[in-house]
Amino acid sequence: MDTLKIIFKVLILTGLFFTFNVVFSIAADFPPTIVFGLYGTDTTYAQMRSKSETFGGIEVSGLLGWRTPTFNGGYFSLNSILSVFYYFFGIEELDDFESTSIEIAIPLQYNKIKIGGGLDSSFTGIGGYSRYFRPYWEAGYYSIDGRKKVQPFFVYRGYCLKQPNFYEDSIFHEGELGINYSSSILRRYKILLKGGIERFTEYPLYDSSGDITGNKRNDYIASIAFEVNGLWGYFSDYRINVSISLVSSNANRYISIVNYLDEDSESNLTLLVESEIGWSPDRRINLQVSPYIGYEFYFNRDALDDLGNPSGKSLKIFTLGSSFRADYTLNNNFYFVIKSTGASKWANDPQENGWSIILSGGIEYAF
Amino acid sequence: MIFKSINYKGKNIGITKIININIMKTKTVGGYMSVPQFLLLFLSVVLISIISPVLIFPQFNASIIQNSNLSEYYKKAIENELKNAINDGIPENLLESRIREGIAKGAGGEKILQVLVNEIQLMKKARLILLSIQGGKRLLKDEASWARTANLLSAGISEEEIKTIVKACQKRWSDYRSATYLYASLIRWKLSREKSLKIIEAVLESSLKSDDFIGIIEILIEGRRLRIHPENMAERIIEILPYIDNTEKLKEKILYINQ
Repeated sequence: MDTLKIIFKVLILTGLFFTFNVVFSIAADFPPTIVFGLYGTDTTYAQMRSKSETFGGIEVSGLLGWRTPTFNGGYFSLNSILSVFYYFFGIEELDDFESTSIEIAIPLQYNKIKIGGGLDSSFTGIGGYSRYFRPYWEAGYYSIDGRKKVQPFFVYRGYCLKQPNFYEDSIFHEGELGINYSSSILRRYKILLKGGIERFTEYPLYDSSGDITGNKRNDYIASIAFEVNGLWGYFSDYRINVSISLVSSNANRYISIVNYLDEDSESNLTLLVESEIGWSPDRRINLQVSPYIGYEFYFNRDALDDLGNPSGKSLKIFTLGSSFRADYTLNNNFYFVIKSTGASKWANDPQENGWSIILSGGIEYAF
Repeated sequence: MIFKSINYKGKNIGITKIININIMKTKTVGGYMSVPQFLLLFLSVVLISIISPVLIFPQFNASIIQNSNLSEYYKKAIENELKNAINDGIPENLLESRIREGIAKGAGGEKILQVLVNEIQLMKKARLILLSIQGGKRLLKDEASWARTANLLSAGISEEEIKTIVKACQKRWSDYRSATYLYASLIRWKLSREKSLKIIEAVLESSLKSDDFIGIIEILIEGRRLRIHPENMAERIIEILPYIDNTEKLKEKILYINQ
């Protein structure tokens, strides 16, 4: 009965989302793109050294995308996504995900201002995470002088994460300074410097006795990233992004079984290499692969041994993952889709080890 | 035969034969040629006979055919076809690469000859097409553009399509080859020929640089990933092209997500 109520609420919300978006976009110069998808999905995962588990079900999704040029040379865009997952094999669970965003671009001769915002949410939770609401916002100033190869930009963004059933509610602010450099259309470079702060409103900080103090968790994040993207011939494109992030946090954790306070448990240095390769030899076929490698080094967080005791060594986690999408269409309305996501983590703490693979296959229809 | 005494410092040192001058005289317009003139002519003919194969068939090209494993029949046939084509005004260097390629791949004489004949026919047809359009002579003077036109014909692109592209290049002759590469890629990607030609016309009317033409395919592919119908994307591209000077701005205006 509860499940049916939730499904009903989600359907009402879906209807409101799309009605609002379609009505708003009716007068557009370019018609909106609307895509409905139906997939079978299977997730297999294993944590620590436990036996793998599998659950599966169906996914129903809808997407609406619309962008229109404005009279002053800018544009206005609106995007909405709704996905509902109903698992009935292995577990019985209903997950959902919604996202709506708007963006306005205002050109200023050789520069441009972009203002945007949106809302990500999940009413029932998704992927093992509890339900949440995350409004976000962004404002940026971009140099778009096509006569120059080097084009700097500055962006401010933030979000507010609200999780009714979990304690990681937070407010996040970040500034990003970047430079785009286009040596040619075949190769483009980007350098990014970011600095941000995340304030947690409910995250518990402990004292040495294991009691919760009234202190608040604050994370300070700095990162530098280098990206190259471009074209391989006429039908392939690629992107490689290498980033190093430093998190300085006052968070701690209390390991009750050994009465141990693990101070500074979340400060870490992360190296991440992400890539994307896309290939579309003709309009019927699209292939995209996005592998990534990550290495996290925690400065003071203890790696635990098999019994859950601190090992005296700092936690290190190596992650290898990838996502894949292939779709085929004969008429660019009806698509056959296969997609997958997988990741594996290796750490010197058995509790951090694990892997998962999600496989989905289905159909999409685009208006 | 005439014998003449040779005298040196007043002394008779012998006799020598003198070739009958009458035999050596050749009749030329206005009279007979003298011996030196005849010798000069004879030497010139010999020299030209030696040099001319080098001029018509530069040493490396002739040797490639001669040094190949082809039979004498096909060596001669290929050389004759090449000679006739050059006499017909087709640049030799545009045909020589085909011969080199065939020999390097170990193709038989019949195959190489067939390819050469076919290539010559395409070059002649390309020439006719370019000459039939106002301003097409400019492209004919550029060997690379001429060869490119022949390549388009061999790829199955029709005379009408080529004429449309050439006409669209009236204000941007130097971008002809870039435009043809874009067109060939659009139809290879299976966009309709009608829409592809309209894109080419719009691109050549716009401020987009030829280096950025490849970005048009990139935008079509990104639109296809977002499940925007390619024909719809093509219309958006054509509509917005007059207002932009680079593909990044084009993407921003017509894709609903900036990838």
